[in-house]
Amino acid sequence: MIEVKGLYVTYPDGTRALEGVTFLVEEGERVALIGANGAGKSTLLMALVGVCEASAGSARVAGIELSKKNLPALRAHAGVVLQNPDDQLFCATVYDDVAFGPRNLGMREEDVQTRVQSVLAELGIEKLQSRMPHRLSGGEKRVAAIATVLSMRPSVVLFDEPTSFLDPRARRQVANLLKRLPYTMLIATHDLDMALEVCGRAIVLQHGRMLADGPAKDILTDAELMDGAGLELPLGLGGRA
Amino acid sequence: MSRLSDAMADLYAVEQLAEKDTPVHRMHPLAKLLTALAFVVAVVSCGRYQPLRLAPFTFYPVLLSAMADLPFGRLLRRAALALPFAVVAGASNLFFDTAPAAHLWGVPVSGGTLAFASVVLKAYLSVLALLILTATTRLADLSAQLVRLKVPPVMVTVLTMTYRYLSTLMEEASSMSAAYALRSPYAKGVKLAHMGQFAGQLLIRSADRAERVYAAMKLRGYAGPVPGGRGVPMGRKDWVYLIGVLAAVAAARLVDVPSAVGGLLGGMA
Amino acid sequence: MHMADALLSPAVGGAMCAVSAGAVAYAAAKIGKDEFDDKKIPLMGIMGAFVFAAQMINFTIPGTGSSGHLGGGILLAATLGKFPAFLTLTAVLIIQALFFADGGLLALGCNVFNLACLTCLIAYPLIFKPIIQKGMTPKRIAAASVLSAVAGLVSGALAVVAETTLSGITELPFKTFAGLMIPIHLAIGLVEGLVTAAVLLFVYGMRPEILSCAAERKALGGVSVKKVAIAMLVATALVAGGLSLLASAYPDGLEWSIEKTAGEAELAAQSEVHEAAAKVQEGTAILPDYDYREEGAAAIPGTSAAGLVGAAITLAVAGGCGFLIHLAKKRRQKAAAQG
Repeated sequence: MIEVKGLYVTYPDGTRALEGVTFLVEEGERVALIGANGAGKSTLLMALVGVCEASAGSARVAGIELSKKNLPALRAHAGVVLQNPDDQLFCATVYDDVAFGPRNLGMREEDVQTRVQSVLAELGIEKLQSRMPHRLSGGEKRVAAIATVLSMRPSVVLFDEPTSFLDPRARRQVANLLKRLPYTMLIATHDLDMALEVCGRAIVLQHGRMLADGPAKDILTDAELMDGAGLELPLGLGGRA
Repeated sequence: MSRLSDAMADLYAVEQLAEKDTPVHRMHPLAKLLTALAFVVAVVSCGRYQPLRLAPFTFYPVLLSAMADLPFGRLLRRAALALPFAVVAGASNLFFDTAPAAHLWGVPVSGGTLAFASVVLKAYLSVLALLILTATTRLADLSAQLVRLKVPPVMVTVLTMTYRYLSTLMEEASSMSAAYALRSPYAKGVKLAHMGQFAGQLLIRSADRAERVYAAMKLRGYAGPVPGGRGVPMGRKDWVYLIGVLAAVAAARLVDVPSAVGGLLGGMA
Repeated sequence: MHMADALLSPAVGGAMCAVSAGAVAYAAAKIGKDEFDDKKIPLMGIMGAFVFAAQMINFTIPGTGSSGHLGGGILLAATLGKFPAFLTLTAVLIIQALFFADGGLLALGCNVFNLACLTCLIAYPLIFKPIIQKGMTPKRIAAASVLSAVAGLVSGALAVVAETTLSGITELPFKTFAGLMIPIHLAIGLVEGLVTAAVLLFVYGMRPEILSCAAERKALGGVSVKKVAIAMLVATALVAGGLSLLASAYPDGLEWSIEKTAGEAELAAQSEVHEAAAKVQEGTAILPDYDYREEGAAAIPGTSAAGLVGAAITLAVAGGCGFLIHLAKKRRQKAAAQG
């Protein structure tokens, strides 16, 4: 569950990245976070896990109040899949990367083994485990990065542009994967078609403010709304209205 | 910018070789490291004027690369590239050490020639040993084991991470170089005047990347100090390999094989 | 500038490995203690990769038309601080040795000392930092970079000369060797210093918080450039002089010891040679052109025609074994593919 109330994020130079964002994501919901570049999507995600500091407002992620001292606990329950998998795969092998989280949680090595193997199996990438991350293909990297986050068994998972820079096949893989996962998810994305396919609900941001919040089907097919948000209709619906 | 693409190709080629699955590849990384080191020390300790004593040492690279399915010809050529420094240094022996030190079929051979041959052969053998080590052992596996040799964990982590981001950074530098070259068609490299910006940009981008990686680490619970690695103990096969090779290396060093073989031949007739 | 295994004696190589290992252990311990930012770890790793990539960038030097390369020691130290930079550069050297046959396994100790220790742990704190203490102005950054780069590279070059001479493998006359290396590295150091300065200026202008040297500058106190320059000259002279004394003692010592050992070897060789000669005389039919009986032949044990033939046979056997193994593997692979 993700509860956000009046969240404000102001950068040190005075730019207001988020202004009064309020919404609620129920358990098990999949919500798309859409908006033009600079609308504040990434900032919102980063604020929810304490990477960006909120200047006002409050949030409750996975039942934990967003505050500096709660960050370790919060981050154990809320995973973030970053935009660039290269930033998230920093260990010598995929196995080590997936094991990184569980090890930091203090699990015993045998338990870490079991956890890693089950996550790899869930995502179908067991054969990648002894590979070195820098030699994986774009799609493989993306799925491996997701594995590194899921291995901590979070209850909430935030995604920052999960289908960017992927070829059509890999994109299809990731989209299918997102549909399968049982977690509460908030997915920031430019891929409006994927958003329509995967998510039941959509939140639209513009200039740091919430423009709309409702069923994905309604929002993503509302040409006027999308245009006003600096977006377009999903390509599958004909793109520009 | 061809140095970059050469380096990237080199790195990729070696990594591919290291991914093979042969008995040699399966050996414990530490066993391979220690045997390679012992080999180098033994080779290097051979007498200055005894190039022939180096002959039995050739068993090591030849047998290992055969058993590990390595392309020997390519290895030889790659090793040859690393020779120039040794050759140039060894040339001093040729020039300065001219007193005859041996006679082969009546022809006097200067000490310098022997020493030069010795230096070049030693260089070749030691580089080959190193290349074979890298072609049969993934750095990821090797660094995980280094902690067992009491290498400080910080050092191991930095080594692992540097290696991890090596090709990433080289690709970034490569695309920056390509962009630069496309806009400076007459330049052979980056102009000195532009190096500050060029390398500076790369540095800033690297620092930013490090920030993101740090954030990713924190998000997965990293609380310092150093991400741990586990070491796997050596198995029986590994010990057999280690001791076997060490014994062979010692034998090659201590026994004058060429003279023995040559003497045998003479005695047989 | 990278030392190769073949030019080292086990004694010198081993000693330098011990020295470098000690330095690594010390630096690692230091990093663990002083309020170390765990943020530094990923920065160190990525900066290592950066230095590696940056070293591959060819830049052209105006006027000469030749290309230069960045070494990176001072740049790393200015960005990360001396101990993290030292470990990072060590990682780079290890990777260069393993993957690019640049340097060697035994020679790692020397290379870490020559290229990483001398720059990050000596030239940087003693020369670079004091100069920029009073301000990160372009002039000071340039002076600091050039002076520390030159000091680092020249002392590194002298270390190479000393290590090579002390190892006694080559006949490179100390004075000539040093005489060649020093001017070359002065020039290289100058260029490296200028490039380092340019990069530092750029980064300082855009993102000063990246540079550790900027953060480490204390507000109070500063050292005058003159004092630092004098200190640097004294230090370099001491290091160079000390190493030279050590090494120049040796060439003469080496000659003396070679004479001695050659003399003894001569005696030993002669008796071995006589034995071998006796054996060969029995089978002169096979190898008719031996001539052990030449007067005054100072034969070296093992280096004889018999030895040469023996060596050739050894090589052939080694090659043959390798080839047979290769064939066996091929056959097994074929069978596996078909079966």
